[in-house]
Amino acid sequence: MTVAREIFVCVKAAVTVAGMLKLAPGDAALDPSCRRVVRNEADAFALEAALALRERGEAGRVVCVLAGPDTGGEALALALAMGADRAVRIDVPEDAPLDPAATGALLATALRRLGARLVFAAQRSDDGRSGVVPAALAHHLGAAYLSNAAAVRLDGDGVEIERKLERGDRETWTAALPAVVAFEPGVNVPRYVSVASLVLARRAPQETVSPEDLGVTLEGLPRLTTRLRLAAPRVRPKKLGAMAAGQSTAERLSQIMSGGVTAKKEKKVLKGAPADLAAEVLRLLRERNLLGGSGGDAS
Amino acid sequence: MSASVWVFVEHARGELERVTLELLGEARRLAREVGGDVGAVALGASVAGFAEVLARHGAETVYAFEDPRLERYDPDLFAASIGSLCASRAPTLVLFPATTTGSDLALRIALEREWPLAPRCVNFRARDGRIEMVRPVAGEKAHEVVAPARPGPVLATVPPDVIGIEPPGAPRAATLVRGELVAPERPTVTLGDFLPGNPRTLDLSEAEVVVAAGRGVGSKENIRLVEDLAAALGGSVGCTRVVVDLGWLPRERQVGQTGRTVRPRLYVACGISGATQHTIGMKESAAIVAINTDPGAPIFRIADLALQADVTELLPELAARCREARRGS
Repeated sequence: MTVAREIFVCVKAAVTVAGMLKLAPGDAALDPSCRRVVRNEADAFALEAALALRERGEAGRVVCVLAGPDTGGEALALALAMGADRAVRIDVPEDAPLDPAATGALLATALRRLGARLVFAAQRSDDGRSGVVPAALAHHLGAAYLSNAAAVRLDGDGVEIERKLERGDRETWTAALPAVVAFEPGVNVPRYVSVASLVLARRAPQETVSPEDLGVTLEGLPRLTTRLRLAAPRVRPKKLGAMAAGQSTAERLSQIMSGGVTAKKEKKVLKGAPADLAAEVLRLLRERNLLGGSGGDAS
Repeated sequence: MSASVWVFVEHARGELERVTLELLGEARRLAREVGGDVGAVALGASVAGFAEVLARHGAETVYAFEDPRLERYDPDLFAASIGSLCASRAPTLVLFPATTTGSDLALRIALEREWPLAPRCVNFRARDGRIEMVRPVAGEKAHEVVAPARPGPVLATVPPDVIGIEPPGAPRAATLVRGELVAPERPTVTLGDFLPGNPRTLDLSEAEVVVAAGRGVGSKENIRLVEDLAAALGGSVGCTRVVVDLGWLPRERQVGQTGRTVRPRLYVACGISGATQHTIGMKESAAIVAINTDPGAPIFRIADLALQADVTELLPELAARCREARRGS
């Protein structure tokens, strides 16, 4: 089989808050003064996986695609500096009414136009962290969605991924192309980008397409949620599962009143015979349900 | 029709995940506010046994799908079955844990059925019978308040450890409803091998239990005691930078500023004084047990259980007791 297969990698320019949070009038967006575009580190793992396949001769060119305003040019330049062959930006204004699902649908339209059969993306971006884009993209592209990938193997007209689950568990999923593979962060070591190559990549051409070119109206894209407003983050108080044994009535009351948040109090350091101390530890383990029955004890 | 709030029950290795109980507490609160009831949806080879605990944590109805094919998460089969149940019973809100399984499943259902979905929510508010969801954006520097953009049951995912567990209520019975599996119209994914994680070789950041060694362990030979306790607890071995520098353990086991940041359910600090460079990488652990001979060790300030003892005496005793308790359970 010829290796003409292109891999498309979705990248994005992440947005963070510089300094104090300030909202634009109407509370619908960040104030431009505190809005800062930063590198989306999560993209590098998907791109590295694609570049590694190309270098092993299992894939053809690597094409990076981004939907966003021209501030996203830097993210594409970084991808080119890492080794991508082509960069395409779908020109979307800063204040476009897009949620992650709409972004996924927009990317799908562009990728279909580009003839994409295999798409790599980060599982979650560093800023929004919704994890919706790759799934929405797969849905609108009519492609299989392979999530939480740690490694990928191409096999004829199919793709096999190793999934990274909780507690170090791994499993494999296979699917026929077209497919969208979403990569977990930290699953490979993205190559180093030298300043010189980045400077060169900034001068490299980038293609731009407008939603009109794609026959899409931004307002008409399917969305999952509507933003009502932005607000400063408020951490909710955590509840505790059970009252700690040995608390006085006053302590219990204050715990209830505070919604489970208890003030740091002076810790008592226990000492005694190893057997007594071990019994204390076991009491804590039982209380927190940490002695779970399942194995893991190899000895 | 009454407004139901449902929770997708996540379980592993025959036990409920903590996040399931967290979500039930939140569902109970929201159901009270919108004047509805709480349902729990459980899929697996054998899940009816969870009904009692689910009921104590607030589930009034337990929808149980039991089938050998549900032993492992099959995205197409799970999404088709739960989607069809939701379509017929029309819950107002369905909460999923924002874990690998929960996130994947909620997305597939929402996209397939064209229902609204709010990912990684940290709070919910009922306002005029409608539910507003709060989720972090811009690298968690701001919160976004969202409303559903289309009709249908609202799906939401919630990361573990955000809500906390409500104390269980009195024992009571939940209505058990048997769910019927629905074969996916167009299967997209085929399951391959499953490789269970091994605590010995596990990446530290994924470990549920970490037993860590500091210089106070005394010698390279005593590292064996730490490893033995880790094995008894089904946990992984971690250490401080000094232990790496002394060559007692490899660099990949280091916890702290120049090593890994861990957030296990249990962290046992053995002979660790608690320098900031170390504690910065482990202070978020759910439970911390510290063992040190110095009663003034700073690690005791963040420990849930502070034990003044010699590691060489306490660890063998503790490992034996843990083995005994686990065999007994």
